[in-house]
Order: sequence, then C-alpha cells, then structure tokens
Amino acid sequence: MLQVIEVGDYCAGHGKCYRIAPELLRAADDHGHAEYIGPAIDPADKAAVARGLNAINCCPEQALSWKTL
Amino acid sequence: MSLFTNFDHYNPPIGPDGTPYEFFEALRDEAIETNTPIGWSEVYGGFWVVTGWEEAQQIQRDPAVFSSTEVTFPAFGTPGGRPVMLAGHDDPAHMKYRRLLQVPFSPSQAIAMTEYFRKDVNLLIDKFISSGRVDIVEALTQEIPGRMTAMLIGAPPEEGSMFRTWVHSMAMEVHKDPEGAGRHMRDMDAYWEKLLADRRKNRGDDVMSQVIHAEIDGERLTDEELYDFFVILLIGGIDNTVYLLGDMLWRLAWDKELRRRLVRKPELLESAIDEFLRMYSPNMSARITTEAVEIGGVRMEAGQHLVNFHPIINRDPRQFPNPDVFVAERSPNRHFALGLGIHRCLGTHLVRVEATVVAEEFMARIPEWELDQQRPSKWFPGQTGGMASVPIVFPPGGGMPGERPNP
Repeated sequence: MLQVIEVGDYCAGHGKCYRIAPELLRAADDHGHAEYIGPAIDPADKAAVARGLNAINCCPEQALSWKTL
Repeated sequence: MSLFTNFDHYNPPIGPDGTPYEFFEALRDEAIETNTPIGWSEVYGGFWVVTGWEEAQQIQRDPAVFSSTEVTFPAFGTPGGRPVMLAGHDDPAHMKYRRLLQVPFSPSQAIAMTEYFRKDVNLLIDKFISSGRVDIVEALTQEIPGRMTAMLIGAPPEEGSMFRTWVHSMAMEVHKDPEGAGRHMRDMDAYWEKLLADRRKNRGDDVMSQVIHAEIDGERLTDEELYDFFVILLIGGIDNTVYLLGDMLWRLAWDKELRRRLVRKPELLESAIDEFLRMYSPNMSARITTEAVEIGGVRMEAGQHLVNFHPIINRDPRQFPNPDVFVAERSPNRHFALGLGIHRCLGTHLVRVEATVVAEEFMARIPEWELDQQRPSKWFPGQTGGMASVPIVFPPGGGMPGERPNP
C-alpha cells in the first residue's frame, strides 16, 4: 500500500520538515504551514521511507504522520 | 535540599567550561531521579520550573490555562509596563497582531535574504580575519542579529548595537540598575518617536512602515501598539540569535571532531543547527496560570508563574536519548528551542538562515580556530542566555591551503 505524509492541525509552521525533505514537503503559506508535495511512497523503497520518516520525526509539534492510500 | 528550591535563571552556577550546563544537567538528573518534571523555586517570590518535555508540550498547547500575558519572568521593563507584543498576548489578540508580520517573516522572505546575510557576514569577517585573534561574539555573532533587525526596520545596520543595548536594559538592567535602564529607555523613546514620525511621512518597504500603515478591521494601530511592535522586533530579533550563534561557534572552537566533520560533510549542517538549538537553547518562556491545574504531579494555583526551561526541557532523556551528547544527525529531534504552537518564534525561518550562513561562511574562511586560552569565554545568564564573549585564535588570514580565504 502506498503512503504519503499527512500534515495535521498541530502544524505551526516551524519549517523543519521542508528544509530537511524539500522533495516531499513545502511551505503552503506565509505562516510556513507545511504541505505534502511528494509522490506516494512505496514502503519497499527504503530510502524514500527514511527521508519521509526524517521529516516526520523532526516536527516539534508531532503534526506529521504516515497516511496509507 | 532540592536544586529547584533556589533555582534562579538569572544567576545559575557557572561550571568549569564557563557555562551553567553542569548545573542544568544536575537539576535535570534530580528531576528524573525524583520523578519531578516540574519543581518549585522560592526565588522572585516563587515560580514553577518546568523541566519535562511532555509537560512543556502540554503547557504550551493549552493557552487558556497557561496564559502568555506574563511571558517574561521576572517581567521585562517594557515601555509603559505593557505586555510584550505578540509573545505576551493570547489569542485572539495575538493572531490579530501576528498576521501583520506574517509576510516579512515568511519562509520565502527568509530564503530571499540569504545572499544579503552572506555578504554582511563576510563584511564582518573581513574586519578581523587578518588578526588571528578575536572575540567572536563581539566582532561577529552579536553584530549580525542587530544589523539584521536594523535592516528589517529600515535603519542603518550600525544602529543594531544600540538596539542590543536597549534589549539588555529591558531584560536585565531594569532589575540591576533601574536608573541606567531609565536613561536607555528614554533614548529608545526618543529614537522611536523620530522613527515613527519619519515613517508616517516617508513610507518605505521596511517592516515598521508596513505595520505603521496597516489597518486591522479598518483601523490603524495606536501609537502604543506601534511602539510595542518596534520593541518586539528588538527583543525577538536580537538576543536569541546572538546566543545561538555564539554558542555554536564556541562549541565548534573546542569540538574539533564535530567541526571537521561539518567541513567535510556540509550536508549535515541542516540537522546540526537543530542540534545546536536543542543543546544550547538560548530562550525560555514564562506563563501564568489562569486557574488551578494539576500537571506533572504538582498542583498549581491560579495566578502562579512558571518558566518553561528549554535548556533543560530539550535535554529530557525521556525524549532525547543521550541528551548531553551532540548528535549532528539526531532524529527525532523535536526540541522546543523556537517555541511551540501559536507562539512558535516568528523569526524561526530567519534564525535558521542566519545560523546556516554564519556556519558556512565562518568554516569556509576560518576552517581552524580554537578558544583563546589567555581569555576565558563568558556566559550571560537570563531568560535568554548564552555565550556573551568567546575569544578565539586562528591562523592570521584564516584560510588553510585549499580553503577559501575570501568570498
């Protein structure tokens, strides 16, 4: 099952995730809220999963999580 | 006796490395061993010291109970004794004001300033690179944020050091030398009145011009609100960054292995800057309770002060394995150095750009430096604290073979 990163309500615009993984996330507005722009990730693609996990793990608000499509 | 009892963030014991971290670690260890993530200090009439990561998260996510209206403790000497703009407001007032500054502090604006920063940092490095000996805080890290703030305000960069003096007056001098602070505050009042009159007549593209000419619900801001905006640009823009940059270059001066690793692998810098923020969090945030509440095993009464002590919270071993070890690629690294929730530091994106550029340019032009053994580094304590003096020595000219002595 393919996965994407879901940005939850706690996102406060820290911007760590899109600095760490710009290929997956970007700033959606001037506040800095994140939005997912990456492709759906195959869990078998270990490198892509690791990049996604890094982005999820850096969020001080714990606002990011995997969402299975 | 518990280390919490006489805990004073304006007067922590300084250890042999010139920092209070030995004491902070001891306090953290006591908190863990006794399962006391929140302890009571008798200092300044009494306040709660929050050292636990989970508890700090709960507090900062609950502004209805933990109000920001007293975000400094003991209170800064702000003009008119008014709350600190933005940081000292709860919603909806906080968001009403914050919207006015969203664009100039957006991620894209911060990135757009990268090259300006780079030029400015190199101008400052040019002034001392041939000497082989400098106090890096005095010559570089305390200059950059002041100059940056001046630029945002539309003032000449040289006025940045004056802004820093005023921030110190409000934060520290007001408690130690009220007369001296009063003189500085009168200087700031006079400067502000002149700036306000000028920007009303001559609208520029600087942040203060935008705020002065902005309207909220069809109304202009009052003179007091405008002055408070000016003050928060100074308070928020200068000291946090001064100490982050100073602590970073101090650590890199003695941690040669880390420094050489970052020179070899610059792609690590992004996560390393977060690790600097975690390990040397310059800022802590205060709150006041609006009602009685139980948290972290203690009962707080309504109207009590608490301080989220980020330098310890960000070394909570329940959240950060080996918390006293610098791990450049640490993940997860959910530190609270730049605040949390609605009060996430407005300048977050600028701080990251400033830290990245300073690290990149300094390491490129002066790849080898170390602490000056003749002159010890000095720590500045307070609600915002960090290295206030870091004398270093390096090869005059800075550049090593194959490195880049000039930009």
